[in-house]
Amino acid sequence: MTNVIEATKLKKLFRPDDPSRLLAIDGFDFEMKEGEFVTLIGPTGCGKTTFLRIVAGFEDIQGGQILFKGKPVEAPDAKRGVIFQDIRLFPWMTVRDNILFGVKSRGIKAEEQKQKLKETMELMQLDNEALNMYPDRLSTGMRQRIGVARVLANSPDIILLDEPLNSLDWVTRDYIQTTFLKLWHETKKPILFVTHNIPEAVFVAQKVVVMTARPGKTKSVVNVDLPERRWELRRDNDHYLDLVKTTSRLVEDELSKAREVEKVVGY
Amino acid sequence: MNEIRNRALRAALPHILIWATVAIITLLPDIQAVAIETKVPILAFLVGASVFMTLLLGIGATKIFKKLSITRVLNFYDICSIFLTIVFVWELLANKFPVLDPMIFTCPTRVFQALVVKAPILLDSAISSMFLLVCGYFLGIIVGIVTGIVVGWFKVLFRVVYPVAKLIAPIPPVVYIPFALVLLPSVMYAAIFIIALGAFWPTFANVCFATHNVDRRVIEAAKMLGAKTGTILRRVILPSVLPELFAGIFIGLILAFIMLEVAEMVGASSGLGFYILSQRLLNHYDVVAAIIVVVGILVVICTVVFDYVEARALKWKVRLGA
Amino acid sequence: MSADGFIQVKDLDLVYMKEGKPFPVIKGLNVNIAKGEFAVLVGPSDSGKTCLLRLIAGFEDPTSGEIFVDGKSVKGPDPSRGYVFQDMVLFPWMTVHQNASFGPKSRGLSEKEVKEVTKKWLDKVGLTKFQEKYLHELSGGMQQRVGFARVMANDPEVLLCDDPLGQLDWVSRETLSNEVLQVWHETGRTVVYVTQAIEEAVYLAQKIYIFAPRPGKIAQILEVKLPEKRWEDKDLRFKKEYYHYVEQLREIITEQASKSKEPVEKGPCSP
Repeated sequence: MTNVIEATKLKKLFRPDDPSRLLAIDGFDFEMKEGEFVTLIGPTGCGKTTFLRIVAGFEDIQGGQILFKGKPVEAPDAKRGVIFQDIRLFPWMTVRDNILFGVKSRGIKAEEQKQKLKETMELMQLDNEALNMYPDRLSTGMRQRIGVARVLANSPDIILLDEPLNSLDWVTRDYIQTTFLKLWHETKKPILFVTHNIPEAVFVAQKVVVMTARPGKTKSVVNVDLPERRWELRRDNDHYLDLVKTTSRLVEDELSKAREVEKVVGY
Repeated sequence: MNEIRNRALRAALPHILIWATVAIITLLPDIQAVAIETKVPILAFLVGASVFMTLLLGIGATKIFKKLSITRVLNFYDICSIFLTIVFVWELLANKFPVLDPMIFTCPTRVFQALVVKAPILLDSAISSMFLLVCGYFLGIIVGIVTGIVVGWFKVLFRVVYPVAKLIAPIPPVVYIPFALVLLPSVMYAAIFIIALGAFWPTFANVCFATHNVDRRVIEAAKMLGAKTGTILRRVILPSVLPELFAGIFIGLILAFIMLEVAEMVGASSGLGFYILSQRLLNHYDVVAAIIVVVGILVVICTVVFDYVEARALKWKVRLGA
Repeated sequence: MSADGFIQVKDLDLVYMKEGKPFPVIKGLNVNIAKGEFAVLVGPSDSGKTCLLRLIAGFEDPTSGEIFVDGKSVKGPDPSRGYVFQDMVLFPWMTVHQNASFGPKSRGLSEKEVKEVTKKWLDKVGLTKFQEKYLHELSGGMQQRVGFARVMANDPEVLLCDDPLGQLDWVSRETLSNEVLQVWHETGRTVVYVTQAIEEAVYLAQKIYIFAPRPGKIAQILEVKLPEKRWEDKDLRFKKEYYHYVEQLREIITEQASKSKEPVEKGPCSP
């Protein structure tokens, strides 16, 4: 099976015009195969979000190589869908327009557009009432569902999630987790999920990649051998709790190596 | 390598322009004959500039002062390049080639000459003008800040006053000049009043609006911690609207300068505005240009001081890209 | 209802007017919180939990009903009811020390007293070395510590926390949760804490009050019988007894949420 993402000796500076400044990532290697659901965790500032942004095409690199399906990543693309932590819907567009934005921009026919809208609405449990509303009036949970809907409507080859569930209420969080687990189970679409929530990271993934403190490298990989129909699993499961413990210890160990870092100007 | 080539170009450009200007002044024939002595001020300036800028480059390269990095020196160089290009082209078109009317567009050589010769009067006028500016400006902004906070804070006042203020504010203070001249004891007071009015409106509008829009939770936090209204206004509201306040008083500064010149042209008997008027009537455009240069320098000085004060007052703010 | 609590909420109603139409947020809410209790409020999004917290704080007035703290009716914000905000809401133009000392100073304490109490709390939250720094120089976790310190410097009777750790990363949350528990244990104050994270709710609470969907009232109360000094057991977070409560809470909330359609619009108390 080919690697859907392959990063070799990635290097990125915070401020490219000043080489004496900090390295965000240094010598980072990462491999992800087709059909995998991988979570990426690590202490704050380790570069996990930076890496995701590099894969998405938002950032350039100063060393090493980043390949998506064998080709170098140059710019953002509908094939690499991103779901943001701060959601970022377009406030001047209605919910319907937000969901169909990507699809319209790529010139998909009206019939197909309608179909996509219907599918994603069903999937994210949105009903017609919300379609004509503007994002500012909606609850955060509702907005993130739309954030997910607009990416799924674009049928991406990989879904990149940048700490998308952070400020959400439990019910929405649970729902979106379940949605992605089921989606992955059916379509085996590759999903890369960056989070700092350790129980969540273990719960959704097959593989958890733990990064070292800044500048980030891979510290270790935890294989999550829990049942595939993960959404049916109770969280007071012994094996699950064991894995959470192992992963937590790894992250805590890494944190104790990095001193209490003051806030870094960057991301 | 591209980067180094770019930097070298930027470093060389002002000097090239300076010496090119020196060359055309000394070597090319003038359209309107200019005596050698007249050329001395501008030449002295250009040569001095070249020496000064080389010195800066040296300091930047050897990193003697941390704050004076090569990047900053080159940024300064870029600004100089723009000005020097203007001077170069202007000299070329006004005195060396018959493109611009030399009477109106007096060449830089004559302007520099005028600056040197008329220096005492220029200085006097500048002091007179700045006195009016400072009095009017600070009067305007202090009243603006205080009333802005009060009207922004009390909801009743805001509802009533703000819409009215929005209507009146755009009226150019210049239209009040006739009344000011009649009602106030002297021309000086009238000028200060007009300048103050110019500075007042943008300050008031910004501060008022910002106060009204302070995040209610910041006020809640202050109340929860036990602060009374007075403390809240002084230690919470005022600092919290400082960014908008500075934006407002900066516009106020620009308007104050404009009002100053207008007021002087209309009623005064001293100051730079008045001087421009009198020299224009005598067709001494070289002196007029010199006065404009002086006004420009004053504005630049005020702006630099303003930026410095603002940076210190807002040092707590995170600047993106800083 | 049950015996009188330290914090008593009686028949509380909160109705907002939104574009001319009434928008009910809380309806007929009754709750009693005992003195020294660590109460956690959870529930579906915008079900009124933050609104309730703000009402207890005195930032808003109810449409009808009453709130009593220690027998006295709530009539506005007061230092005895300290509030820690979700996104900190600190004063960025002041240093850490100035932020922490703002409360004592505003209340008119003597210079000596202000110095003492500020030092005590800055030491407790581990920010002594960062006293003269400005907020933008601190990480999120450190900023929120300032949020706690400035409130505790006023020695409040009640500590109201609106998802204070929600913006922080996981490990900071775990560390600060322990610190909050320790402060609570030491001072014996009453804490009312709102959170979205059910793991955190179970970890901190003695009693969890679960809200029904908007318009809110308390649907259920879950008592958490875990050891009192929870921070002493480093493995507690991975133990079955702890997660058993987490699963229980999860089921209750999901059941509550399914009772009515998820509200589409955001509530009035969201930041």
